[in-house]
Amino acid sequence: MIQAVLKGKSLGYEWKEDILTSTVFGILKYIRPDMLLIPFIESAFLYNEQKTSLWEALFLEGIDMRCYREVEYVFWAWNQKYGEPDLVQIFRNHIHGIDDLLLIIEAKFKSDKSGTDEKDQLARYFEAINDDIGNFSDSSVSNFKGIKGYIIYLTEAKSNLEMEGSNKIIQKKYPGIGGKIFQLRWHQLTETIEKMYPFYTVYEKAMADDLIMYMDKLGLRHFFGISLPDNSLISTLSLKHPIFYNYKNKKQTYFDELEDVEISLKKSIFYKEENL
Amino acid sequence: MSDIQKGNQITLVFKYIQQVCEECKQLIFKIDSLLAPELSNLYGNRITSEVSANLQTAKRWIIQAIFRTYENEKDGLVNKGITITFWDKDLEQPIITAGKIVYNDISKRNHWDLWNVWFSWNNNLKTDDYKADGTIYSFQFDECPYIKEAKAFSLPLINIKDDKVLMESIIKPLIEL
Repeated sequence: MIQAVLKGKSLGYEWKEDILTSTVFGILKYIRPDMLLIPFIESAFLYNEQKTSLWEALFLEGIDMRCYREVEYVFWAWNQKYGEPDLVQIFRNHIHGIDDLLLIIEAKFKSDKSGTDEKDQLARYFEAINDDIGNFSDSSVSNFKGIKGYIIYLTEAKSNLEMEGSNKIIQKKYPGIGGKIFQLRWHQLTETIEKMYPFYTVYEKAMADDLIMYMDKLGLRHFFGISLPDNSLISTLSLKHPIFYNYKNKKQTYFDELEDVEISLKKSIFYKEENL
Repeated sequence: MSDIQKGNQITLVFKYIQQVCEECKQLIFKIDSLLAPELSNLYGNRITSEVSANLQTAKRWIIQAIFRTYENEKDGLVNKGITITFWDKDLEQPIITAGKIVYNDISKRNHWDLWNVWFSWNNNLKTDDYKADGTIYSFQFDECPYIKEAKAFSLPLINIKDDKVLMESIIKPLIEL
């Protein structure tokens, strides 16, 4: 899909969130988890005063995702009553024997959260994994025993209001449960790649390069404005004798100032003047 | 300053131009994304024309402006667009122009229509305080009958400092045009 998007052959499907989710996480599967997936999703955060990251929240529970030896990706696991989260990730086989960990990732691109109040999408998924996990179509999910309840809401823009609504519903139904829905934004992926890039193998670099171009093409990268010339360039551009042009036709360029030019510039070298 | 240092300044200037082009690419992708899926771009990866590879037209070796034109399937006679102009006669700094063009005859549509509207048709404006400050101007030009009317506004390119400014000062007004 990436090549089709880059070459303009994707017929508008590039704006579909399922295609985006599948393309991005389909590649993440083949890169060592501690090199991209984990630092990416760990950077998800809560909209509280401290902006608590998922890494911090898990750390307080004694969980380090890097200690799991395996990660399983279950795309669009189906639960008849509560619906279909985009991705369930199951972290297994912890090196110190800690329970497996299940995360839900709900991704959005051009659309908002589906449903409000009783039909709130994120609240429904929370209920699904806590009260009805046995009814997921995929056995990896339905047979899961371990730590669960964390939801990552992966979006393009800030979604604090949507998440606040979902949290209220969850807290109403499950008093005492707080801060389980974490915000992750697509642009954090490229930022993570840029941070981790020096540690990649040749193959991982090739995949990371493709991912960066893909995210770039979809506009899922922060724009920080146009760089202004740095000091050395400003001094170059403000030289008394500019480099590239004749200032007010006075023939005062950098090249005119060179001392060791052997050719006189006073005479025409390569052409004849019209009146000759 | 040594000759190498002097020469290095030339390299610095070219690298800087390259950097600006790279960032404009990112800006255009961002605009594509913010306008999608309602508006889709017309010319694929084509972003400019008339950059010269000819020895005799050296001034045109460097890019002067880029364009991006968007169409909406529901309204075939209306296009929206963006241009970024890096240099031009009397232009003090690079500007980004956004606008809407309503066509009478879309078969005569040209890559540079929006650019021409802003840079060539402004003489027809009755107001003297024509500025690249986000003010929206309306244009009509009897000598260009294939365009019925146009609306456009411009801002200095360096004003677009981040996603939020882009959304507030370019995307929202462009969508509302």
